[in-house]
Amino acid sequence: MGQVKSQFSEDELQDYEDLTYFTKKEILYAHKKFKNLAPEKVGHNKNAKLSMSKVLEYPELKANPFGDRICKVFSSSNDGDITFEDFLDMMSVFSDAAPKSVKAEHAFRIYDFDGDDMIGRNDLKQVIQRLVDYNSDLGHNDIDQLINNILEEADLDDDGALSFAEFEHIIDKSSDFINSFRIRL
Amino acid sequence: MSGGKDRRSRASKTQGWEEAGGEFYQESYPADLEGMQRDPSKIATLLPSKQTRNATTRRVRPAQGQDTKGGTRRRASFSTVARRGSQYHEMQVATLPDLSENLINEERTWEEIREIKSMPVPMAQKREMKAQLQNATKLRLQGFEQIKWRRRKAWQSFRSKWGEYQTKLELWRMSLKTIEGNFGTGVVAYFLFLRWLVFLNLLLFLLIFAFVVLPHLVLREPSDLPCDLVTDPTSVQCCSEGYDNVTRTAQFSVLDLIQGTGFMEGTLLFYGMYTNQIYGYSPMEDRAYQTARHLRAMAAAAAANGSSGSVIDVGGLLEERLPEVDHQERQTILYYDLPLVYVIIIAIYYIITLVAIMRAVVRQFKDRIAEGEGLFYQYCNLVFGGWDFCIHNQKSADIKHKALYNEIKSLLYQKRFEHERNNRSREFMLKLIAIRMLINLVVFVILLLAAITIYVLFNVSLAELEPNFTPSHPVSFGEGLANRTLYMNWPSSWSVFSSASQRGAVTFASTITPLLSSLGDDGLTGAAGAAGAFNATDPAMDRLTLEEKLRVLFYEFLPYLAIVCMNLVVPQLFSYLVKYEKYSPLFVIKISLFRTVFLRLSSLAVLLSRFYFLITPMNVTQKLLLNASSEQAAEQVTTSTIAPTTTTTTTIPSTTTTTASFMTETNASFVADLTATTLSVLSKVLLEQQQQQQQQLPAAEPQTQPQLPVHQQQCYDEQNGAPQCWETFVGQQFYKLFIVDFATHFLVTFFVNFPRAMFARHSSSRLAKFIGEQEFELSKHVLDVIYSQTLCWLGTFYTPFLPAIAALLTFLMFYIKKFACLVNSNPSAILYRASRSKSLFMSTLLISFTLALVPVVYALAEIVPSRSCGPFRGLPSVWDRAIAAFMKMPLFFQNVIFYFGTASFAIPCFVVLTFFIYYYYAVSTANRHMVQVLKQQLVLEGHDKQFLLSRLSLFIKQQQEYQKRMMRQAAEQQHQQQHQQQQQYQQQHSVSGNSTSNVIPPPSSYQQGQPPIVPPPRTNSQSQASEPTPALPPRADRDSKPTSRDRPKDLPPPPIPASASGSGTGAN
Repeated sequence: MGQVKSQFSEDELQDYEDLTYFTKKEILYAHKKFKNLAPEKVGHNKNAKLSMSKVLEYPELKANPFGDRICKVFSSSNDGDITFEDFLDMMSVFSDAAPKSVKAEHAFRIYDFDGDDMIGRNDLKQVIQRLVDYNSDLGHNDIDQLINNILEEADLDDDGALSFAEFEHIIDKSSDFINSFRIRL
Repeated sequence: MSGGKDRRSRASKTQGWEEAGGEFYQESYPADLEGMQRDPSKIATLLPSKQTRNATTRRVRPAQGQDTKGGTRRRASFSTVARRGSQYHEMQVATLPDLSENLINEERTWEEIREIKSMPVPMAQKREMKAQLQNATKLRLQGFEQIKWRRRKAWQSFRSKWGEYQTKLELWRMSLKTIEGNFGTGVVAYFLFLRWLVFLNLLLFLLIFAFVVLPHLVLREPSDLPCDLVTDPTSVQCCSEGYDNVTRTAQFSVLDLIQGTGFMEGTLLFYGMYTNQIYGYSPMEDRAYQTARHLRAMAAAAAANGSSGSVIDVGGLLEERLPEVDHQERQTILYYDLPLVYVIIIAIYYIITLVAIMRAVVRQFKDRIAEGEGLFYQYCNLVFGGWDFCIHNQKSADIKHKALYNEIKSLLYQKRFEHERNNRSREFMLKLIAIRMLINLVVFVILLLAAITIYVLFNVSLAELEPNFTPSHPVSFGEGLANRTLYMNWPSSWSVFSSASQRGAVTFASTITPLLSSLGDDGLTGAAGAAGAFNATDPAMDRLTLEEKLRVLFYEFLPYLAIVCMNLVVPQLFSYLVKYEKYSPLFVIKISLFRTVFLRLSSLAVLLSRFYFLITPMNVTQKLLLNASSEQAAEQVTTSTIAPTTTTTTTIPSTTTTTASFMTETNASFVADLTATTLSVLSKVLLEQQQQQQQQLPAAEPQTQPQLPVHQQQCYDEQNGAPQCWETFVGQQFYKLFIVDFATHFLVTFFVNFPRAMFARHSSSRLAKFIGEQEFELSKHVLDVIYSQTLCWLGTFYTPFLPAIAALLTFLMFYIKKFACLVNSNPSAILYRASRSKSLFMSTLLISFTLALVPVVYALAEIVPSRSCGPFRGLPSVWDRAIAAFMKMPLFFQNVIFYFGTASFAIPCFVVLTFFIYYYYAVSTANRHMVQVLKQQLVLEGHDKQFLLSRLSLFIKQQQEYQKRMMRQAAEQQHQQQHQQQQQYQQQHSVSGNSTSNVIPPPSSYQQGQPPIVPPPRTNSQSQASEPTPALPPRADRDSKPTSRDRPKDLPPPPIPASASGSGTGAN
């Protein structure tokens, strides 16, 4: 513990505590986890930037079909590389304490593959394909059908894509989202 | 129209940044502006409704912070303060836009810093914001405000600290994480449910422990009246003494530990050991005191009135006792009435359980409502909430992919299935219906067979253990089909089993026969004989060989083993059968669950009915007994008070109302006691003068005499094999069932399923895979837990320690199930959703709770408690204790309660409730209609928007083209001009003069040559086009449209020509 503590000043910890949904202890624990990804790098520089492939070794992200998207969304340099602060942001959003709206916002950006601030048909297609892991025999017809159903349900203004407001509306009504969009530290 | 109002208020909240208007957009979208000019179709992304908060956070902050506040229930307590704050802020923005930033005080700064964390920006930016906020000048709070703020801050830090401790103390946190990582949230919901049950049981046990067990341990139990074998060998005291002797002599043995018999019976574990005495009030001292007073009074009366007036003496004596008792009562004010507490605590126990379940169910119900009308957002929910981000195991991730695939397929299939179902041919339908009916019949027969088997086995085991047990008492054969079939089966099985273990039976018979005979011949030796006989039972038990003991054990557990085995096997059969019924996938889960619940509950019902018939014959005698004693007392009173009838009739009620001591004693024991004392007094003191009195009471005595044979029966129905203390007996059965249930889970998990799983894992053959591979079937495991919980609810009254045992075993069950989950089984290919499975657990739990409550309530209200044990010995029913206590309450209170029961209260209440229901029904219908209307409006609005956007982009395109053309023309013109100039120059050289007429403005020539395109009204319209929704036409219902809420209001009207906007509104 003492060794970890030496990497952060009291002020920094206070900042982190104020700016995330974590307590100081949890922040230190998160740092330990971050350090485990690349001990030699983070040992030298507590805020070292890890490449996306390195971060994707984190077990939850590794198993997640949206792992790369998550990294990109939280990366402050927008290329998927993650510093400790980004990691802390990520874990804060995925923590139990984060409210639904914050989670919804990040989820929207994760699912918005082309970054046009709308979840369009292509985005949806990619989400579905990632969910079923590409190789299964979900035909194009099925996917199209599914996308049609989704849009029918949620695309309130009928413009063929989900805007953030519509997405937030879905999340408000979905009781599973808050449970599933969560990574325990 | 509440929706519209809501939106308006929301719109007003976001005004803060709208004020900023156009320059803001130019600030934040310099690139987009250019991009839009290049690609007009991208204009849609500029609409405020299409923005993520990412881009707008900095300005939107106050409103957004509030959003998150409203969203989380946890911070609801602060929401009012925050709202006031931000409204205040908005007002400031409206009135003093420049100063608003500077006027924030410390509290607001603190709030805003706390809200930064909800912003989707990188940490560095957040830090910057925090620093900015901290460095900004701010007002210091004064006085009370300061204190309030401090308090809030302290409370907040305390909460976060507390939260930290809570997570540290959280039971099984790491286990849950592991399970979650491997099996997803649906399965974790099951384990959370287990944990919830552990805590519930623990809480309930603490309640029982604090109010029932602890007083028993701490307080000194007052000694009861001694057993008076001469006058009344079956008095409550005598029966209790007999039972006490039985239990006290038992010695420790391991077998007893699991059977709950022997020494276990004598512990506080079971109902039988709780006293019927009131702590702080001793009937012994009271009795002694009374007898002394009584004798003195008798002597005095005898001296005064002489021998002739002795009848009146008795009357006077009764009267005289009253003030004595009254006096005695006043001395002991502080007392602890255990029987009353017992019944109240049990009632509270069930109420707490109900409330706990209801709370959970209601939360689920709310979720269901929020989800919309049942299956409203099922596709979105599946796609966006389908992946469990917590999964960290590659293998389970693969299975999750598969499960999601299955779910998607089945969802799509369901839609087609519905279509298909409508198109089924008639023959097919007939066949299907026939198959379904057949299978339902088979299921019914299986259930019936199961019930019968349990019934038979229970009889067999009872026959083995208690040779006096005769299965053919009238009540049990007065009922249904099952019993009649049983009657056919009975003799054979009886003979088989009795011959098989004759030796054990003989030993039992030999020990119990003397007891019977001693009880039979006379009352004097009855209780002593009973005690002796039971003392003799123990050496006899010791003499049994181990084999015999095991045999006894086997028979003792036979029915429970059968129940548990059936619970293991039959559901498999059901799940096999259900395949042929071709139900939709979701319905298959439901119907197999329903059938399994039915199986388990029916086996329990058989068990309960068996208990009931075991108990009832005794009930009949007990009721007779009670009637006899009360009649006797009444007669005694009438006979002894011939002369002043009025005085006695007044004394009896006054006794019951004024003397708390007698009331807290049981009614019957009071009567019996009274009878006993008066009788003994009559026989002892007035023995010499009896002759004349006996002649004076010829009418009464013959009536009392015939009652005596009934009176002299035993404390319990030995002939029919009824247990001495049936409550304890029932408690023992539940205890056994509970333990057997737990043991089976343990054994099956570790000694059957574990080897199976190992076998499957280390062998590659297909057979091994078939035998060994197990899925974690949630519904089965849920049923296991709910079943044991139902047992706990059924047995708590008779085994007050059962909640503690349940809590402990559920705690251990967690580990068993964890092992079953993580080691034995693979993740299921069925997708379990957390919300769906939670509501499944809770509704099943609620059903079984209500069903478990029925027999318990019946038993409390109707069945006569046994005379020899428990806090309610000698009462006609348990509930009488509560009624008696109620009758002692102030008259006003009683009247109020009684009023609730009258028609004058019930009918208006009913009417009012009906009105309320109707009102809420109407409101909900109106709301549903409103939702429909709004949805349609939204769609229309969306069409409007799209139309206008396309117009706008077309317009921009035209403008760009126009510009290009203009430029081209300008270039051309220049060229022309140059050309002309050249020509002019040439002409000037040739012809001098009209140079001014040559500078013709190009538009005129353009207008001539171009098709009629709508020209832009202003030249600077390009910058205007960057506004978010410049093209929306003004409409009356503007306010209710979310798309319009962010429209800047202080900007000039949209530069669309009147014709375009007119056609826009007209088209829709």
